[in-house]
Amino acid sequence: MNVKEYRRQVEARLAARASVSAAAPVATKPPEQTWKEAIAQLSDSSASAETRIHAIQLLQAGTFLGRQFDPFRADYIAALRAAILDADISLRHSALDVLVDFGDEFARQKLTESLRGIGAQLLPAAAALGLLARDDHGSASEVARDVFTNSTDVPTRAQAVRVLGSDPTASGFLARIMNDKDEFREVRRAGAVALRNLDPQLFRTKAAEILDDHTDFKDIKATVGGALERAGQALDRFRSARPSDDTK
Amino acid sequence: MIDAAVLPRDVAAILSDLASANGSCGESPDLLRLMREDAPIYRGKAASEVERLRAFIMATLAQAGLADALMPYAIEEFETGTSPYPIAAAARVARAASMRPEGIAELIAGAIERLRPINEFVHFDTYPAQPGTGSMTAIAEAMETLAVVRPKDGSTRRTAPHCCAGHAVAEPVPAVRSIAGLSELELQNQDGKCARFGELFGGRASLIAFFYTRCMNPDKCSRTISQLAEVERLVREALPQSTAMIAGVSYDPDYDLPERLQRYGTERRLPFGEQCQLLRSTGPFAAIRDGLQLGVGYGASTVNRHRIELLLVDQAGGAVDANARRLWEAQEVANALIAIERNALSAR
Repeated sequence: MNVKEYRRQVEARLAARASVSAAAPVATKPPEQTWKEAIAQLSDSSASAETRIHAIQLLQAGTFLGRQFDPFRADYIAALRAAILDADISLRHSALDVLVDFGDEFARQKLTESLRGIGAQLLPAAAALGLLARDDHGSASEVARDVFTNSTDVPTRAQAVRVLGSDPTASGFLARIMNDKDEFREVRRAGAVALRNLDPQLFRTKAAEILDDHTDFKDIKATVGGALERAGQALDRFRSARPSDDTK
Repeated sequence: MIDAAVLPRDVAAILSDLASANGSCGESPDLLRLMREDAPIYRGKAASEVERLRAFIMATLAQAGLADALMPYAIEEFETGTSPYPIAAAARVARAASMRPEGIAELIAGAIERLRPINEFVHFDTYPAQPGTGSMTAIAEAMETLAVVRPKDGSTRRTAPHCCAGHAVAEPVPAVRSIAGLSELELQNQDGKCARFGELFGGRASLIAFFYTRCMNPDKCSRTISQLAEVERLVREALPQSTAMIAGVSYDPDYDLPERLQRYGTERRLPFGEQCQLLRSTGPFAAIRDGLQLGVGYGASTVNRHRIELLLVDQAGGAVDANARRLWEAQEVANALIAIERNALSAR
C-alpha cells in the first residue's frame, strides 16, 4: 500500500466515524445528575474503593463550578465524613485530603484522635501529620511533639517538625533539631526549613553555627547555606568542611 | 445529650440544665461570658473546634431564653462569619429573639451568600455532632430565620434601632476607660524599632486597631488594615497638621515579626511613617490583652478566634470610643479622630 492509498483509507475511516457521531450524538448527562450519582456511589459502602475514589474526583471537579455545585455541597461533605471511617485506607486518605482542605473540624478531630491512639488509626502517622500541618490554626503542635518524642520513623519525625513550623513557641525546639548532629538529616533539614519560615533571625544565627562547624554534614550545610542565600545573606561563612560519612 | 468528656464537666452540667430549661433562664452575664473569645473553655483549642463549640453554646443559650442578649454575637456572625455552624446558631438566636435590629434581613442574606460554597448539615442536640446526625443545613437554618424576619405578607416583628439593639451585658464598649496602665510596655514596629506604649500613644489622639497577619477571615484583619490606610489618608487630607497616631497592634506578636508586619501593611497600602505603624509587643501579649480586655482567644500556636476591635484614644489617654465585633467605615472613624484632635485644639 502506498502512502497516498493509506492516507485515503484513514480519511475515509475518520469521515465514517464523524458521520456516525453526528447522526447519533452521545447523550451527555447534566452535571447535576452526575453529581447526584457520584454522591450515591461515594456513600455506597458496597461499592469498590476505586469507584468511590473516582466519585470523589468527579465531585471535587464539580466544586470548581461554584454556584451550580452549591446545592450538592452539604451532601458531599456528609458523604466524605462517612468515608473517612471506611475500612479502605486509600478511600480514607482521599476523603481526608479533601476535608482537610475544607478546614473540616470532624476530619481534624478524627486525625488528632488517631494520632493520640484514642480512635481508630486512620492513616500512618506521617500522612496524618502531613494533613494536619496544612492548618496553622489547627492546634496540632501538642500532638506533633508527642509523636516526635515517641517515633523513630524518619518521615513521621520530619512531618511532626513541619507541623511545629507554625508554632512560634517551638522555635527553640526547631533550632535544637536543626543543629542536632545525632538527629536524622532529613529531620534536620525539615527543622531548618520550618525555623527559617518561623523565625528568620534565629535561623540566621543557628545557620551560621552550622556553617562554621567543620564537623557538620555537607548536605546540611548546603540546605542552610542555600536558605541563607535566598534570604539575601552573605555566604562568606560557608566554608568547605570535612565531610562525614555518617549515614544517619 | 452533651459529652462531658469533651466539655469541662461544670460547663457541660450547666448547658445540660439550660437545654432542658427552655426559655426560663432570663439574663445571666455569667453565662454570656461563655461567648467571649478568651473564655477558658476555648483555650488551646483549634480554631475550627472553637467555632463548633461556641456555636453549640450559642444555640443552647438561645434555647434557654438568652436570645436577646446574644444578638450582638449573632449579628457579628451574619456580618463577618465564615463558618456554617456559628451562622446557623446565629440564625437560631435571631429566630428566638423578641427584638431584632433594623437591617438584619440584609445581614442574613449576606451570610447566606457566604455560606453557599461551604454549606453543611448542622446539628445542635449533641456536642460534638457526629456525621449524619443533622437533617438541616446551615443555609436552611438561615433561610428559615430570613422568612421570620422578612415575612411575605409584609408584617414585621418588633425591631430596635441599630444603635440600641444587642448590647450584651457582658460586653461594655469601650471595655476600658484608659490606656494609661500600659505606658511602660515595649512595642516594636514594622522596621524593628522599639518604643514604649506611652511614647507612641501618649499626648496625642490615637486610633488603635488589632489584627494578626495569619487571620483567615478577609473581613476582619485584612479589611481592618486596609481601612486603617484609608483613615490615615482621610485624616491627613482633612487635617494636615494632625499628630494623631494610627496603629495596628498584632494579637500574635511572636509570629508577627517586623518583616511580616512590613509586608502585610505594604500589601494593604498602609502609608508607614512616624504616625502610622504596625506594632507587636516584645513582651507577653497578655499584658495588653488583659489591660484592654480584648476579645481574643488562643489555640496552641496562634489565635483561635477574635472579634473586630478598634479603640479611639484622646490626648490624655482616655478611651473615648470603640468598635467591637461590627464592621466599621473609614470615613466615620476618621471623622471621630479628627473631632478628638479639633476638640483639643479648640481647648488650647
